[in-house]
Amino acid sequence: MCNKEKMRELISAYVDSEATQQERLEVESHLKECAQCAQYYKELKGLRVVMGRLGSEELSGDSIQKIRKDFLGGKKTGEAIMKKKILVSAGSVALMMLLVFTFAVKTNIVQHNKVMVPIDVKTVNVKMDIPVTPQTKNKTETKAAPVVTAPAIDATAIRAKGEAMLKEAGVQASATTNQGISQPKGGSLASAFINRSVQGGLKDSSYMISGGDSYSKVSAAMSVESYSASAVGSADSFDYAVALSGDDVYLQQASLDREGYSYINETDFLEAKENPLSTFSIDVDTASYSNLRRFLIDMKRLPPKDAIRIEEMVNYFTYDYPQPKGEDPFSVTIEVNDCPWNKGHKLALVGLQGKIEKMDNLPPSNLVFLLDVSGSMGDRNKLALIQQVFPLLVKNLRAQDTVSVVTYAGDSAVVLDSVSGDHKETINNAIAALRSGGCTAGANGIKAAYGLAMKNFAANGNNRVILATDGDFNVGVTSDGELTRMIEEYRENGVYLTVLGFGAGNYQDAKMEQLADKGNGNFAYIDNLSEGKKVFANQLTGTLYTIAKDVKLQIEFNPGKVKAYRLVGYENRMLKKEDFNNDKKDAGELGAGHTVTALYELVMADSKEEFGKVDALKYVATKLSGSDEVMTVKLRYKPPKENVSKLITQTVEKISGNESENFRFASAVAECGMLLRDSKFRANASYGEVIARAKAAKGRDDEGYRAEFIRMVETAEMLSAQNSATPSNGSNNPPEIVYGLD
Amino acid sequence: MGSSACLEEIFNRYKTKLFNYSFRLLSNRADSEEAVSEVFYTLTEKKDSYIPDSAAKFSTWLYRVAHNICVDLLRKRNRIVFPWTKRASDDDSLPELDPVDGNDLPDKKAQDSDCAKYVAAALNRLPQEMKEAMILREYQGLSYEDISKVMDCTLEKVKVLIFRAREKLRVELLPFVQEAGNV
Repeated sequence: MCNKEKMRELISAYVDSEATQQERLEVESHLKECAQCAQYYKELKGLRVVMGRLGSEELSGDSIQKIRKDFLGGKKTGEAIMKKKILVSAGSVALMMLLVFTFAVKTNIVQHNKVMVPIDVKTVNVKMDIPVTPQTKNKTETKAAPVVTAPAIDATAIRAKGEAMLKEAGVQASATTNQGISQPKGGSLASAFINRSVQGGLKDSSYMISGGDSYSKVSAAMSVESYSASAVGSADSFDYAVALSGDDVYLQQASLDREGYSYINETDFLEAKENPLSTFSIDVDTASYSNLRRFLIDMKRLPPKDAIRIEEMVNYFTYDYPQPKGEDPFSVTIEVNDCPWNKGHKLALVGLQGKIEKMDNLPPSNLVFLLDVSGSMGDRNKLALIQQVFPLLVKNLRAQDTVSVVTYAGDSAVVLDSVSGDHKETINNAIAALRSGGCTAGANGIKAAYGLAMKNFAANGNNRVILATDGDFNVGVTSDGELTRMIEEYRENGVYLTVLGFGAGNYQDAKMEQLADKGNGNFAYIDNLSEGKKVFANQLTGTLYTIAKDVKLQIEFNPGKVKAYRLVGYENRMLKKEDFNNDKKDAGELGAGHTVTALYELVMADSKEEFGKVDALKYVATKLSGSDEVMTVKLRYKPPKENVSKLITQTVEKISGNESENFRFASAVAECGMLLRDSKFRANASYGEVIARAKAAKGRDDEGYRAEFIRMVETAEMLSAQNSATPSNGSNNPPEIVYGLD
Repeated sequence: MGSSACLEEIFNRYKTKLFNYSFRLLSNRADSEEAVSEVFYTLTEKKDSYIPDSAAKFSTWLYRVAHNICVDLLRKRNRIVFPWTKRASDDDSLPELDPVDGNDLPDKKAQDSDCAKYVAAALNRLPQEMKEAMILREYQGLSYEDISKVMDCTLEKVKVLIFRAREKLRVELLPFVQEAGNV
């Protein structure tokens, strides 16, 4: 006999496909044995049929018309309801007044009323009237906040409300008109509004979901700054997200409403005299590019600006840099030529080429596949893609390699424990048998996977957890801080993490990049089989085997030659100048055969452009050395098993002259990224230029990646032309919804 | 895509779903229409409180709004029951199905529409929370996770609510259930 109640509850969840992997197996094997439960299962299925007989009710045509008119017209019913509410509350207030009046405690009410001034979320709009200082402008400009059919708000009312808010926020406002607010205060005012609007967004509405943890998780992954930015832009992103949240109709576009991207604040030009050093960590991630491809090719629409990380676009491609000679595991290539999108400027390319290793030469691998099989992975191109892609990796494994498989969905389950790379069929069968269901407790899965990796630790080998997920960790205690601490701890023990992002619509980009970053790993987005091939077959050694860790670059510009510089991309990879020599400071990893490319836009000393006017220092004499060099590139890296870094230094003496194919193609990709981000530094950038240059620099392009890039740029050009043709309230809005009915 | 086209799209996509959700919950046409109307009104008013970056799906957010409105209406209805304003539910009046009476089921065609009436009545006899969880699951097709967000409770609770609701419905509708399950 079975624990009937418990089993029946499981069966109920099983009927809804909400049982975890383990529960599913349990139920299935039990149903074979227990006739009573088998009958119960039948009855629950019968119940579903019976309940289905209660059909759908339709709104009457009249009421549809009425609601529709009111709703799309933006008013009436709402007003009517509001009026009703006001009447009711006015009634009760009057009653109270009367009561309280009898007791003659009038003053309390006056005060009470004051506190009750409703702070409406709509007051977000107020910020548009306020002069914003340049710093805060950066935060708000990417999302010009249009108002989605919100009823026009009376200007005086806004001001009154605004002032009430300011008083509340403790900011002194002497202003009677918007112009009256002085410049410096503008910043704090604006940010007061921004902060306020975030709170407003969360608190004001009684209908805001207060669903506890899971709702704040994504935002926790982002900085407060990025969060504010997205809240301010919510009116804009609102219709954007809504238009695409395909819940009942299958939309060709995936629903974007759950995709999380961190706000990217573009790096500005820095004056070389004031800041001669520029320091950053390398980034071999390519996820942003594949994600971009999903938007442009699959969905035929422009991606959100914050989904574009230019360095990841540039690094998606391999460049033709020379193989390293001597002891260092990588070579360094530097080229300085005219900047294609701004003729007065120069562009410096710094390229690293990791040593190409053959699979045969690699030490044994101890791999743990950590596969997300939660309900959200059941969508097309998620779990199914995992099942197609992992066998590509398995194919290349050797007898000395081992594979473990851990799945997680509600609970984590160990599917395989340390099976030799020889037993390809066992591994592939285990992967093929996975089904999705349940919710995602990513943290438990990661714990279990690291546990296995440690248990089967290969002392001289490559120990790595490969996490495949849509990153939507939404059950259990997944504080991001806790998770990253755990990952960092295992990293110190020599277990690395590779994060593979799958699927669309619910894709948590920011969180996954952060995880991979902390785990000394790489992060790739796999949107289709060919991308899977790139990561698991063509560049497998790079994906699996790290040849250098904590690779940092520091460039010293010679102010005598370079007036100002700007690092293109790498916004979230910037380091402090003192971090360069600090071996405790984590940085990016380089895999076998990987190439990394960074671009600097330079303004040369003879330019007439002015940057940040700072008075000359009175006590510190800055005297230039009079060197003719343009800049010095310094690199630090650690061999994978060591903790002391090595230094490579290379100087650049002059402008290179002949543009290499690498330079032309990399600059074309960066230019495309700037256009998609609508960068303020885009100058004369144009899609036409990008296409022409990319075509000319296509090279051999054996795998067709560069040709695909050109197609993408052509799509982007077309979409942006469409966008500018239809005057819309914000850029990057989808031109229209395209329904796919397959 | 302009915002009005977008609102139109939302309206077309969700009006019937929301109406059905409210109707099953409130069992009253007029109230349900008012609820739907108010959901859309709230949508234009409170859209800023929907933050796309948060982990909530838009549809879940919308159901959450509807949930609050319906629960409010139910609460009001339960609190203020003046004899002269009492609104009868549309289909309160059906008797319980006699489980042993299964053999007397009417012929097939009449049976389906008849069965629907019994299902509606049985649903209405469920405690409010069970009923809502069941409606969200069976008629709105939400996942347990989304239901937990709409009803603001734990996933475990959703699981139990649905299981208990099924237990009650299964017993009440046993003749229909067995017949359908054995096909």
